[in-house]
Amino acid sequence: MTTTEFELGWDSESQLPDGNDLATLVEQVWSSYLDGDIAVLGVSTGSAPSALESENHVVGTVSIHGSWSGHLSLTVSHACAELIAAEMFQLAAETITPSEIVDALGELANILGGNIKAAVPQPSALSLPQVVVDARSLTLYRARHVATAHLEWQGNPIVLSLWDATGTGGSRS
Amino acid sequence: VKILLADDSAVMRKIVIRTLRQAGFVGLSITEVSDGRQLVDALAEGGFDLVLSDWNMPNVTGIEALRLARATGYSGVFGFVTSESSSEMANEAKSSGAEFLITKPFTADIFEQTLGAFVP
Repeated sequence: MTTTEFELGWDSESQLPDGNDLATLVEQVWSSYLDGDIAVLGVSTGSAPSALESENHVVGTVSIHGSWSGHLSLTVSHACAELIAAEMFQLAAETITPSEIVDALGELANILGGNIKAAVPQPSALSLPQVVVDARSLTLYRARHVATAHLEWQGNPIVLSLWDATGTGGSRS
Repeated sequence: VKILLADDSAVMRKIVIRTLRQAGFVGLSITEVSDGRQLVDALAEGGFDLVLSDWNMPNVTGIEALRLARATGYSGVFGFVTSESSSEMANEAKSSGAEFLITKPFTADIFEQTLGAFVP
């Protein structure tokens, strides 16, 4: 049995991931699957995240249900989502289809969510990812913002946010 | 070596195949399926030496597929390639008959180290 785990450096017994943890996780995922440098622009913990300036967002979300419940949202511009899908599929950006964007952003949300799940109180289950291709805003019902990391990749903003819905029933469908 | 690759994400299947090549594994015959039900159906037809499976998939999950596969006589290697990275999940995989669990994100080095024991 071989288990490989990334050490993200937070104490899952006593606290939730903060903005720095989210930024580190994005950097690790990007370095594995995407070319080019990714820079951390800033992090916030507790306060609500600021919106992207682009009106045409692609949002990948995944939910965790269990002893701790919540959501993770990965938000990028549509142009950035095309670049991400093109690199992951190794196809030209102009040939990328909406279904390929959904696949790529959904898989990134799944990878990010799986690593967050391992860091929150157990037991819990990870949902399948959902992707909204033309989102103007994101409202998560009965969820409290925990932390956000703002990063930049190839000139495009990347925003990863964690939301707590434990005990509210808001993460259950 | 005949590999059955199960993941509901087409891009992740492509990345896994690319990573196998980067890790130096050549001469592989790879069949792709996109959920656990298709995985079990493909295994029933026989001929596979190794399964690489995602955990969270629609219809039948990877862990359910593993248990079904072992219960119906599949004796080849079964490994997970999944975003699930907790020790609880690794233990559940092992107790259900998996040989290894590779966590996403992964590298070609991790593939080489983990799969080297099972793929010539």
